[in-house]
Amino acid sequence: MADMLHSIMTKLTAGFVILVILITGLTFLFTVGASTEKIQESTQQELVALASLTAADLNGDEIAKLKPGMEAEILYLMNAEQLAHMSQADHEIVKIFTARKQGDGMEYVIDSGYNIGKRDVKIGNPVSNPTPAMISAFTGPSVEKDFVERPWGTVLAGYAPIKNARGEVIGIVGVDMDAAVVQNRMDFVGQTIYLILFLGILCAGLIIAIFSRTMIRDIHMLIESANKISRGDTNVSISINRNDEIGELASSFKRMITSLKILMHQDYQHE
Amino acid sequence: MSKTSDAVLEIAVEYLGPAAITLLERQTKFHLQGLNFPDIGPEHCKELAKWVGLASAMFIEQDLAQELADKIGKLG
Repeated sequence: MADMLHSIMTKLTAGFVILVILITGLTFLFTVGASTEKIQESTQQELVALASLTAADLNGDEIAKLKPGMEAEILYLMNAEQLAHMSQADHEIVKIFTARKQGDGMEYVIDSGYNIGKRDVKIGNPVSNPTPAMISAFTGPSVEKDFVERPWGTVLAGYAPIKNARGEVIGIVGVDMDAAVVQNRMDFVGQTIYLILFLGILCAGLIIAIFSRTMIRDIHMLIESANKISRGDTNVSISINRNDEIGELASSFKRMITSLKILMHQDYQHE
Repeated sequence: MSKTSDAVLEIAVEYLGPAAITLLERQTKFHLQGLNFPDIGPEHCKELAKWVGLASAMFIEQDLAQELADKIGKLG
């Protein structure tokens, strides 16, 4: 056990493995953080783009006319269906809704799940704790920096203003993506990097093991030959063909053995 | 030492190590009419190469012994 601990192979392998782990660890730390941040950014951009597209398609004058209790009217149903259609086009979108200012707060107007059996809010339901991003959406497209709570779950959301025919902002459209979907996207990057690093460490370990194994095998051969000669047995053959330092050592060793044989042979002949 | 013996020794040491001189002196003495190794000239190289090839094959691989003999032979 002590011999194994002090062998060059153990030292080499341990040294390389520590080096590889250090490099990959640092790479992982820097790459995962930056990559997940980028994924979140691109998801946010995607939500803002979809919110802006949806807002451009909506008729602001029609939405402004919707009052509590009008959920069964054709005006509501048509707009709700339009939103449902948009949200169903992307299976990662959990809900598209419209909201407007009501007093000091905000209220929901249309819920994309209304006529497809996934209704969560009615016209006039208050938006609990409107976020700064929702408020700033009345001046231009905006996005949540982090996950927010809705009646339908935890989401990441993008918003865009809805305008009427006169160009006045009458409300906002919100596009919600399930937090789990966003988290999965970010986790996927981390897991992929983990997998690549694991495979990298595995390959490096294998290469190091093979490399040090052949090197140690040749050193052992030289040690064995030296031991034989030191006991008077010159009948040794060294079959090491390498172009590195060990190969050079083996060549010098061969020359030394040859000289020893010549001298021993001469002495024998003299006798 | 003549230029030729120096050149032969330089080549032989690469294959036979420090005892190369011993082998070369012996082969010169026995096969080149008692000539001393330091006195050999280019005209002796072909004959010496033949005997060095045979003698060194007892201590190193056959192909290496032949390679050594060829190199010495080319000095002639």
